Amino acid sequence: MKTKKRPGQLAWAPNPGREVRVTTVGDRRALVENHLGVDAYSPELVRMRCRGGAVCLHGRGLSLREVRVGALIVAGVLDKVELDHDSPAG
Amino acid sequence: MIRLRVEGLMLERLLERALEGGAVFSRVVRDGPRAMIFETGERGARVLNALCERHSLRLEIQRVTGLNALKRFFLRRWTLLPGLALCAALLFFYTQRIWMVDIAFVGERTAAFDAAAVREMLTQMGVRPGMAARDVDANGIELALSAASEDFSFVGARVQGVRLLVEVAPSLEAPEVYELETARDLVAACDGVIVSVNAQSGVAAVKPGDTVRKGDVLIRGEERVSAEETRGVAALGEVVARTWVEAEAEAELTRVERVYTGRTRTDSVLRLLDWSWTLSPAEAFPLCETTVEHLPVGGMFLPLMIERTTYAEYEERLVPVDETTLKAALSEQAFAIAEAEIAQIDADALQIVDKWIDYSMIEEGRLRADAIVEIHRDIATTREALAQEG
Repeated sequence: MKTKKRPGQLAWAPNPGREVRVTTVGDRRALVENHLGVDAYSPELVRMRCRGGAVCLHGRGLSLREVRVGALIVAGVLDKVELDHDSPAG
Repeated sequence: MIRLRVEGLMLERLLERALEGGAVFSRVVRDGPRAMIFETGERGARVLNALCERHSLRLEIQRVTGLNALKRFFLRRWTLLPGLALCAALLFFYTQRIWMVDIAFVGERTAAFDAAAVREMLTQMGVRPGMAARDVDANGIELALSAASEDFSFVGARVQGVRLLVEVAPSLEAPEVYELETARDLVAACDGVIVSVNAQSGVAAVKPGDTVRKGDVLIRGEERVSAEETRGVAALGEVVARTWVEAEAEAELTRVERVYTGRTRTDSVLRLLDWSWTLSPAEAFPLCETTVEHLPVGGMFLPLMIERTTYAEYEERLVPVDETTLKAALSEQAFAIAEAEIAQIDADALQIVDKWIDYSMIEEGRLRADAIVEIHRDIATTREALAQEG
């Protein structure tokens, strides 16, 4: 039976620790895998929790595509990808 | 795909809860600081709806497309599919039967019977609208109709959908039999001046240039057996003569024209069915044009109305008609009558060679047009045919 390949099943690079992985395609799309949930979403910013911190995507006219548990695609004009690390104390 | 718009605070948390509930979103767009648009499937919409109800968030279904829309459409109109199935069944039932029986007459000859007679014959055979198409035996109908009457030279029956077409051709008239031994003369069918004589049997009694009257012998039915003896034969041949067909038409040189004096009177009557009550009486003029108007008062449910009659007085005046126009009209009318007469002449070879018209003033201001059409035609006929014509 043919199964649809889901973003979270992309296995071109091993990721046994299920660390967050952000794959950008030019500046128009970004695939975010292994996140733990969307914290904030606006057309300028998408912020997702991940192990050890958060990942922020800055841009313009951002929208979410193919939103599933642990994976989504951010579409729009991407300006910046930012990784925030939790402080060791936190 | 179902597009939903949700209003509220902390919509990111709603998204997370929906994902935990098994929803999948193909697209999520922020629509203002307190609203978000979700595009999802049936299951996602159900999960999101339940969450919105639980948290008292406003949810609006903006658009439903694809299979979901189709499903919703059919759920809303659940009688559609049974209705379509019923229609198909009825249509199938309808097309299995003959609903029209058409009779068509073919051929050049006028039928001596009508469609009702043929239909009656078909009814006697059990062929009627409403019968099953598979029970129609076209060959049987053709044979039975052909056997039923000698007036049919051809009968064709075929089923075309829900129609049974029966084509009937009247039998052809037997040609005239030339009996050589029966002595007869050929005589003139009308007055004329002989143009040519072609005697195939018998002796020509006239020559080109002769003037003949109706009934004069043209070809005598005799042949010489010996120097002294002759015997009677059936005369046969063609005698072409110049003949003339005349027609006339008349018309007045003046016509009556109405001149309105401008004086009018109006009579009003209140009417309810057969009951009436005069509102304003008025008397008609000796010469007037009457116009009646019905003004409804009671509307559709009460036939109460005012009947208003207007009398407009006029005088009649004789005015002359344009003579050129009148002559053209009379000429057209007279030639039409003449051509109609020519069309009734039963002659094999008929040729119009000339035509003219004369106008004459007759009594009481009338104009008469005499149209004359000269034709060349075979005027030879038998005495019996002449007697039948009268």
